[in-house]
Amino acid sequence: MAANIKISSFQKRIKPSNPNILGTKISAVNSTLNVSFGVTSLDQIIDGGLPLGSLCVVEEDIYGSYAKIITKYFLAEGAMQKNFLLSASLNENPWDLLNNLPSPVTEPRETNIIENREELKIAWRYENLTLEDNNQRLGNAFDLSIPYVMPETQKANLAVWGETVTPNLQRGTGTLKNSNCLSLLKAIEEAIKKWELDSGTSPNLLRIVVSSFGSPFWQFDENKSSLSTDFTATLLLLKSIVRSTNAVALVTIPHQLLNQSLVSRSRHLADVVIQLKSLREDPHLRDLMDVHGILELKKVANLTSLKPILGQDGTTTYGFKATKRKFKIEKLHLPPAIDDDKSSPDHSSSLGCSSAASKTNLDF
Amino acid sequence: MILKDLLKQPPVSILIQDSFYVKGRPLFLSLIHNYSKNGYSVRYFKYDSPLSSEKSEMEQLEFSWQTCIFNENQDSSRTAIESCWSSDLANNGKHLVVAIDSLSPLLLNWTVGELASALRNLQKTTAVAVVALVHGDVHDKETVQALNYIFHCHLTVRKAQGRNVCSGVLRKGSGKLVDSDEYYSITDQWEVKDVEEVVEPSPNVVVDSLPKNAVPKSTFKLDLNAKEEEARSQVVLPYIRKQASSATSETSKGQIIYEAEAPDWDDEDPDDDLEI
Repeated sequence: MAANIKISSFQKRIKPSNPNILGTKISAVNSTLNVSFGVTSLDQIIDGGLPLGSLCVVEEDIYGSYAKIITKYFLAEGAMQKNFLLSASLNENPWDLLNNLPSPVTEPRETNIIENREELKIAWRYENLTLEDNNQRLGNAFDLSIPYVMPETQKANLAVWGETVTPNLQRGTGTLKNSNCLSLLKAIEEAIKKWELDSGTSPNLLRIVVSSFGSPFWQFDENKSSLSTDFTATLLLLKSIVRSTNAVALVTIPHQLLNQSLVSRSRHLADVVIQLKSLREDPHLRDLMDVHGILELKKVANLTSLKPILGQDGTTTYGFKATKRKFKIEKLHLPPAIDDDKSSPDHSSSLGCSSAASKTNLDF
Repeated sequence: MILKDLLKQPPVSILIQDSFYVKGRPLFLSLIHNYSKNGYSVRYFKYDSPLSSEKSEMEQLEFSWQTCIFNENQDSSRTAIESCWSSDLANNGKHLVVAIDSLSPLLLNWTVGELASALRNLQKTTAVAVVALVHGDVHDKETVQALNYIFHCHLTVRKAQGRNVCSGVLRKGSGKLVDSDEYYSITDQWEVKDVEEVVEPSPNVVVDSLPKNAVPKSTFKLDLNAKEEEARSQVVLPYIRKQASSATSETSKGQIIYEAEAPDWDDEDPDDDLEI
């Protein structure tokens, strides 16, 4: 009798051999590993964060200042989770972004010591438990005004790509002609190889941030004929790189400067598309005085099924508030419509039927 | 108050955009004159017109100037111009101002991307502030937008009510955007003066088109003339009377007053009158 004949199809459930990847959470909706954005309010909207292996495109507000805040949070969360970070920027020195990350703030936990608590007679099992809201702290909280001082051990986890790093650029001869793009993709591949993220068993992930992709500094307009192919090909290649490794990419594009068709192509390509619009760009938004701008989720792709992520049917608009310390996203609501009583006192007496003597409120 | 602050603070990269109607060169020249007076070394590159035409003016301004004009004899390639800009930069470590008058001829031959990277290369070695003039109406919208993206501070000159106005947008390091609108005037000595904020005269209070008694337009006379209005305001309404009477202490809680009436019990059989 052979020893290994399987009589039944019963298989004992064994723990999966893959170690937990740092910085990811399993999504309850579709079992993907989601990478947190760092902004807890944004995570709540996008089901816990970006799926591992996806490309997120952030369409910047004008001059990109709010988009920069999001990238800072993204990198800061990565620093807290000890992920590998790669910052690519031609607008400014990429080290500037990494040196000015917000530092984490531990919110003071309210120690809910209940005094004179009644002895729980029925729910006596809960007597020793503390009152703690388990859902409250889904992630880290950051303070934008305090730059994060990275511990020395973690500095080895950083990589940059920028003008200062790659001086001599050769024009490409293949499909991808733009030398900046070629060098960026090469740098990403080298980082992945260095940190062995494509092996399938790495316990860590790489967060790639490309700032202002498509801005004039990238020189896409050098060769008009290859402009569109270079832009979309780079995004496509970036997406394929992150799909096959433990990486996630966040690319911000200044969509006001680019041709609309390029922006549409990038929307089709990316997995998650977020658009930021600051109040100064749209005069109609002036009424929304308590937010600094609007965040629209143009696309949230579900990588593992056809069903859209719960709640994302495009009807909710979100606003963001950026203060010196925090960046927060919330659902938009119109401010309460309070009657602006601009009329001067002499008008009020003839408003409707009121007695001339008393100005009391009408009493029904 | 961007212009005012610019005159006092160390130089930053500025883009001055003018148009055919309002020349921006006076403001441009006076800004760099201001910087050179404050001790920063200025290198002035003139591309718009030959230097000889305004030589006396240039001499009056007293800063080191150079000219690299596009003509057949000179090498107008990008590298040559860039090297022109960055030559002699390794000096005392003071802030250096490179004034480019103007960017428009350059943009006719270069793309914005090339200009952007040229400016970026310029800033690699030392801290250089680039003050550039550009003629906004010569270029298309995308170019101007891209230029606005590159420079952190841009000033647009225009005319309002006969005076020169400078509208500025400053992008600070923290990402905050500051707007301002200021009047300015330039003296003969190339000084900027009279910088004051533009205060829009508040429009005369427009009488609300909906008067206190909003009357829809119709053929009926729905207005009240003065006598009728007075009579209307004299009407004392029932609840006011009641309120006056129960003024002080009674809290006007709603009360249901029910008097038990005689029970409505009819002994008759309602089906009596049926004749089946």
